Parts: sequence; C-alpha cells; structure tokens
Amino acid sequence: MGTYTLRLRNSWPAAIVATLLAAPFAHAQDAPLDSAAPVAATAEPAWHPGGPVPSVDDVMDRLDDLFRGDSAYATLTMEVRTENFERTLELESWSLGDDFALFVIRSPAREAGTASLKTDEGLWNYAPRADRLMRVPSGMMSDGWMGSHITNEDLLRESDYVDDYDTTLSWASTDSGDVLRAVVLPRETAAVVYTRIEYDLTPDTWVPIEMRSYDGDDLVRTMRFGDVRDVGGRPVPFRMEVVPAEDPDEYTRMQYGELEFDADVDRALFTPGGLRRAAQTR
Amino acid sequence: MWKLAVQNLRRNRWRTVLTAAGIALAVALLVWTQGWIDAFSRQMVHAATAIETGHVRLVTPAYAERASLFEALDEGWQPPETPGVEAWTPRVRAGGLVGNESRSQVAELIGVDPVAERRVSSVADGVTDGRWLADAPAEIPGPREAVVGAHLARQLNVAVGDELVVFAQAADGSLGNDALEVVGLLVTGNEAIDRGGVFLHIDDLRYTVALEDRTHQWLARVDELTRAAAIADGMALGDHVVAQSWDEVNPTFSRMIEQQEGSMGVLYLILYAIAALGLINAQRMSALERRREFGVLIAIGLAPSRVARLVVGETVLLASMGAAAGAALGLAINGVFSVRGLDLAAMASSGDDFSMMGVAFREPLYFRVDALGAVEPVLVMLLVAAFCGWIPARRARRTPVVAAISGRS
Repeated sequence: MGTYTLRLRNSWPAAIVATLLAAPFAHAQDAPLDSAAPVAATAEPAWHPGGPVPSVDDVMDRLDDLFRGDSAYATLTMEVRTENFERTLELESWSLGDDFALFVIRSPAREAGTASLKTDEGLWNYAPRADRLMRVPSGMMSDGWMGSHITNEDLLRESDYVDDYDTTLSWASTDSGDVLRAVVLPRETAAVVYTRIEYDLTPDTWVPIEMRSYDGDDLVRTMRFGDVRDVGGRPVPFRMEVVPAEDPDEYTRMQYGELEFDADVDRALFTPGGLRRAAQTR
Repeated sequence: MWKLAVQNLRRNRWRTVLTAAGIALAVALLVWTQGWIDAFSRQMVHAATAIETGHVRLVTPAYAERASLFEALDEGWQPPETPGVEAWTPRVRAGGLVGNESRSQVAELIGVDPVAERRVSSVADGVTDGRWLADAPAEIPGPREAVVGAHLARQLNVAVGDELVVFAQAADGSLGNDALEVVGLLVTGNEAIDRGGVFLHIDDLRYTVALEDRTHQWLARVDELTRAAAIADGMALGDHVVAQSWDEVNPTFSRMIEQQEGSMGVLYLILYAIAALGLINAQRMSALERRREFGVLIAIGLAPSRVARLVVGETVLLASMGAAAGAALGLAINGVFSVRGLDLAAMASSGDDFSMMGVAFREPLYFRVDALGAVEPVLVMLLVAAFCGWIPARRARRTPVVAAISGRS
C-alpha cells in the first residue's frame, strides 16, 4: 500500500454534484436511461486492496474522463426532509461545459417555473411570479439551494482545486467492504469551506461511494452514492444522498430520471431570455 | 441666628456670590442632566417599543426562545380581550432576499395589517417618501406593495415606484417569490429596520411564505408603559402562547438603558463633590477670619454649640441660594430644549446620524420640564452643604476664647 500526492486537476465535489444535476460526460455514447445497465464489476484496471495503490494520475484521468463532457440534459427528482417539512421536487436541467448550467423546477405547481442559472459570472434565481432574475449574493453561498442540504456554493464551486488542494490515495476497509480512499486537504492559502474531504471509491472502478466533509475534526456532512449504472461504458451513480452530521434524520436525495449526453444545448439558453423561455415552457 | 447668618454672608459679597454661583452651576448641570437622561431614555424605549416589539408581545414559547419562520401561532388564533391593552396588531416575519438582476440584499420581511399597525406602532409615521401600505392588498395579478427601509433602498438603488423581486424560504420548504412595488421609504430610527426592513401586507407575505392564516407575533399598545410587565404577567393564555413585556423581549436593551441612567450617578457625585469643595473652602476661610468674633461670642455667653449651628446655618443658607438659582437655570435651559429640541446628529463629527445601541437619533431630543424632579438635586445639595458646614463648625465650636480674643494663634 502506498500513498501518492498530486494536485487535483479538476473540481471533484462540483463534478460529483454536477454529475447528478447535469451529468456532463466525455466520450459518452448517446445512451438514454432506458438502456442504462447496472454496472458489472469488470471496469479496468483491476485494482484491489492489498495490491499497489493506483497512481493519482491514473485515478484523475479516469475521473476526468468520467465527468468531462460538452453538454447534457437531464430530469431528476429531489427529495428533501428536514425537521420542519418534507417535499419532493421534479427538476429539469441543462449544462454546457463546466461554466453553464440551468435548473428549472417543474413540480409541485406552487414552485413550477422557479429556476437557477449558473454562469461563469455567478448564480441567479428566477422568480416566475415576478418574471425577474435576482443575483444570489456571495453572503448567501452557504445557504441551502431550494431549501435542500446542497448549498449555493456547491453549485457554483469557484475554488480552484489545482491551486487549493492536495490529494492522497490509500486502501481502506469499511463496514461495507474495501475502498480506495482519497483524502483531499486544502492548502493554507485556500479560501474554502471544508478543512478536509474524504472520498471512498470502489477499488476497481473508482466510482464514488461516499464523500465526507469536515470542518476541523468535526464531520459536517456525508454524501452517499448509489444506483450505479453503466452509461456508454462508464459506471455512473444515479442516486446521491446528502445527510448533515448535526441532523442525521434529515436528508436530501437526488435521483436521475431521463439522461442525455452531448445533447443539443444552445448557449443562448443560459441567458435571461433563454431562462425565461425554458421556465415558462412545459 | 438667621439674621446673623445673613449679615455674615453680606460681609464678603464677592465670596458669597462666587460660592453661590458655583453651586448654582453644579445644580443647573444636574437638572439639565436629568432632563437629558429622561429624554434619551424615552427615545430609546420608544425605539424599542414603537417599532419592533410593542409594549407587550404574544408569541409561541419556541419563538420566544428563538425566532423562526416555522414557529407560528395556530391558524386563526387571536389575542383575548385584555384590560390595559388599547390595541393589538398581528405580524408575520421572514428572512428573504430582495433586489434585482444587478443588486440584492438580505432583508427582514415584515407582514403587517396596515390599519391595526397604525394603532400600535409608529412605523407608518416614519414614511419619508411615498406612502404607507394601502389598507387592502394590491389587486392580483400585479406587484405587491412594499415599504422599504430608506438605507436598504439606497443600497438597492431603488426609489418609490420601482419594482423589486423577493425570494424567501417558505414554511413548506419551497422558495417563495414575488414582485414588489416600492410605495414608500421608511426612516424609523431603528437601524435594523432602516437598513434591512421591508414591510408588506400581511396577506401577501403569508402567501409568499406559505403560512396560510398563521401569525408569528401579536403586538400590543398598553395604556401605561410602566404597567406592561404586569399586564403581560396577568394574561391567561395556556401553554401554546406566551406574553412578554418589551423589556423581556429585549433584556439587553433594557439593561443598557438602566446602566446608562445609573452611570450618571458618577457624574452626579463629581458635581456634588466639586460644589462641596468650593463650599468647604469658602466657609473655612470665613470661619478663620471670624475667629476673634467667635471668641467674643463665647466669652459673652453664647454656647459653643450655637456658634457651630451658626456656621452650619450660614453654609446651608448660602447653598440654598445657589441651589435655587441653579434649579431655576436648569429648568429654564430644559424649557428651551423642550421647545427646540437637542439635535444630536448636528454634534456628530462625521456628519452621519448619531446612533447608539442600534437606535439612530435623527430627530432632535425633546426634554421635559420637571419641576418636581429639580427638587432632588436641591435637597441633596442642602444635605451636602450641612456636611460642608459641619467641618468648619467643629473648629469654631472649639475656639480658644482667650487666644482668639487676644489674637494669638
């Protein structure tokens, strides 16, 4: 077993969230959800606990390939449970590269048409009753997005992991089996929320199983991934659950429905006019 | 004896006048300070009760611990008839984001009944531009009416007639939103409201935050502010509602007002001490100069105790003249400020409003002329004078007769 240290070249947390919200993929074939198949444990390379730890370069290349894409379209369901309410949203989303994403709520009726637009300049919310956009100020980045446990900052994720983090890989054992563990530590100069992030990946296919975010020694939240399916030859988790550490009875669960890669997504969609058309169209 | 005391005071008129003038200035300052503290405290209490809390507030026990959107009173609940309460007004409160595409700010959204609110609070009186909310919500569809804190409006760069968007967490977890039309700008003197408050019609805010017919607070105006705590304690409300007087709602504020008043005690002591030092010095000098006279008086049969009483009497008489003049002067100055007011903002060096404990003193402070209140510093000064006179009186009482008459020390 060994450890390797290499600077992250990509935005792991944003990519993981983006996977479930907008699923950009590189080299993916057009593979609608209907044809997605459960993953067989035959992904390459065949790494296993007890053997040498894969190089961070190899793992990063795999994940870069897994999460890189030109465009995507998806529908998904988000369930939120807190001590005060439970709700279920039906969402529609589009993405273009890493900088542009649009999420529109389609259900329930009270919230239908509410939308969030992410661009390289920031994050905006759209109010359908007012037919207006409003920029989300930086002071609200830590607030929950649409009342969920996913924050506005999760969507925006402006920290630069190349400059801000160091990653270490090692084998580890958990209650559910052996995993490839990545520990991500911010550098001293990094202006980031969490002081440590741990990822547990499947040992052979390097698909995320769980992500734990820490503030000092305190666990802040846990993200669990599941329902892994093969999409165009790549294993992709179709379900994600976020659980805050201080309220373990609460959660936000997101489940993909329809999924299309390299979709025909117009850049004009990510403008105020494009957003309005998408929000007001059903 | 009093005729003798008056005669003695007239012997050295300059010393008498100067000493009395010093006492007058001290008492005048004390009376003015009382007026200042009274006006200042009234303004602070007004800011605390007339805008934010009312005199008495009804909320759920959980809300009293920590204000929360999710801790509202039961649907349709209304306060009972309560002796001493002149009027009630309901409020819904929520945190939200207001702004437009280019600017947005976190704001405190306050849903009110515009008619009932006028009977309880002074918020509507703070409208500086535009108007207060209409009695009924605006027609649907159309933007909802909003009265915005003036400082918040400046930050958002909006004026009366402009539109804003509001987003707010709703009680069902959704993200409530709506369009607002700014119908008025507000300056209340309460910085939290002026910098972040947005008043909406209560029905509009209830819809935005999915609260149905529920209310977070009922605020009361009582007939006598000093009875607020007793009225709150006397309300029988059950387990799901608690009544709080304004000082319970904001104990820190209440304590700071008391501390502000208490800290004036140090100033009072200093002023009394200064007056006392002048008085002791003057009377001691007078007693030294009259040493031979005291010797003669004792020699011809005047009891030494009466000599001592003579000195004390002169001191008290001197102090009473000065204190009376000082009280009149202080009341006259307070009378001027009761008409013209004291503009604290004009004294602020930066040119900004003078503020303290979250209260902006944009309007002048108007004093009250309290003649009965001026009696206390006068009486205290007389007691101080009696003590000051006793020191030289002790020495005068023990005057050695032969040495004093012969002029030997």
